Amino acid sequence: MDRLASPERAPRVLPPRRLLALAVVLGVACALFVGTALAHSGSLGGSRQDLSVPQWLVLMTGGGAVGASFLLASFVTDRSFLRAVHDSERGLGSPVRPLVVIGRIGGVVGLVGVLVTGLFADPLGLTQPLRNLAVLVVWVGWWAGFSMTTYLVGDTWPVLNPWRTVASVLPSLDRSLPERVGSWPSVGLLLALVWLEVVSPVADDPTLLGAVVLAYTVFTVAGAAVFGTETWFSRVDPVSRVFAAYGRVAPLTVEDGRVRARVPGMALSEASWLSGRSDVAFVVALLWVTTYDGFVATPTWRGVVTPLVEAGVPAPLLYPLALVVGFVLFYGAYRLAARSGKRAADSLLTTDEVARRFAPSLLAIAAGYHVAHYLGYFLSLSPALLGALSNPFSPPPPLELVLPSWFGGVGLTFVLVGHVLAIWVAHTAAFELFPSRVQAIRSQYALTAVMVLYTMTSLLIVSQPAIEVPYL
Amino acid sequence: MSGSAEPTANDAVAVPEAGPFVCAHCGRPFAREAYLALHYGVDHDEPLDAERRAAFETAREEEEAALRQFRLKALLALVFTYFGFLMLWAVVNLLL
Repeated sequence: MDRLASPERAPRVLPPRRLLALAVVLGVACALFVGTALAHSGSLGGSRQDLSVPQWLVLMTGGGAVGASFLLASFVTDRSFLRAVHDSERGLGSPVRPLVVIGRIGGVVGLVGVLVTGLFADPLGLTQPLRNLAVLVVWVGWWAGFSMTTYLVGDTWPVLNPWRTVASVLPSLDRSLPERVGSWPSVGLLLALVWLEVVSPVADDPTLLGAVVLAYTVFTVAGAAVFGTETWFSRVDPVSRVFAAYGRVAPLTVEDGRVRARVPGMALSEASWLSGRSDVAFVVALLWVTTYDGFVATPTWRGVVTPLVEAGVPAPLLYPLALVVGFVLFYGAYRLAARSGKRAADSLLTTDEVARRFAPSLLAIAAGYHVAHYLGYFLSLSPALLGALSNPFSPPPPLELVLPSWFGGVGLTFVLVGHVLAIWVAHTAAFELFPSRVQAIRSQYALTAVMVLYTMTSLLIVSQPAIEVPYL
Repeated sequence: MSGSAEPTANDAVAVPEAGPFVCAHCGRPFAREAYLALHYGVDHDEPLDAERRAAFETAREEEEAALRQFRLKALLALVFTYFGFLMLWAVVNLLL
């Protein structure tokens, strides 16, 4: 239903005006970004001048920028223009076979390296986290660095994934996973994985990390052997699914064995790769866990839990509780927005369908927030990672890159860029979904409100100093 | 496209026997006749007959009028947002 009939081919809006509209969108958005970024560097650095901007103003301005970008996007109502922006793609040839083989071998070698330096950290004398290859490769190289490449470049995980490589050479029972299970297991596993990452000392204890990676290896290879690699890695394995979802944001993709390039983020207006409620829940879960990860390390969270812990609530219970409650809140807010959008557009589509069509836009937000959260971490620890990689068994003393004080503003900028991209993508998806352009615009009111609230939540986290996760 | 028709609260339909309007090509239901008319023109490649073309053009004109009105409101909201924030920042900087 995405084709175009003749009446649309003679657009009423002239090309120069379209360009002007886009230029205005970008210009105002940039002006607002710069304002916010400066505000943040002012409050972080302090020494620049005596201009300290209160946090509420930073949050409001961020929310305002996202709201304003909805208004600006609503001026772009030419379907053929929207389609031209989103469908521009070009083929880049096939990936070279030797490169795939090298990637597979590299993935397996990496896994073995992590297992050896993790499990045998004590006998090898590698217990210091910043000199341990397993800790640095898993958290700095993979969780932060590699994740960033999946949405900034392309999802290379199906090749690198060592568990897929191992499972693919093992025999499989090919049991079928019932259809009604959908991809709910991956939602649960993703939440469980992030809970483990936050509450356990797995980030600092190489031996424990090695044990967790080993357990994950056994679990994943066994699961893939029972259900078949395709089913397992596309419906159950949370890690593969996270990277596949992030890969939808990326400029590079593989289709029928050929690499294709597209404008970053523009493929998010298309939702055919999501089927049903569980896939939507997974996207929302991905957005939530990225937030949760940052949220538990803020003074705000400490302020929330301190009275509860003092009242006798056990802290280990609060963390999974907050994880589940937050997920339910995020999912509920998103569904409510979809339902309200459907009503505002006077559409007969089901709420599920509307929720599915707009879910990919949330990935732009998740990716923007991920950069904000991890770029500084990755850059400051990358010298230590290089040190450990250059000499895994006797690494040099770890070096840490000291980032300039304005770097905090970079995070805020990425949060906003992600949200503005999400607004634009949802705008395009609405134009493809609804025959009336007025319907398309109305369907976005509630979603925009949710995104504005979400921007403010993200900014609240990113604009605070990261503290030690309390009471663990 | 799921063809499930849910009852809607909004019955702003001119036809007395106001049932949902169903697309003859793909079976997608619509709450309003104008949406169906636009759907034929926008989403399907099949050539429009005279009746559907006339309906499409009428719906299109009404849509344009509604869009023009919306753009005015959006422009107003933008101006308020922009200057609102400008004032807010000025006042905050003055007080701090």
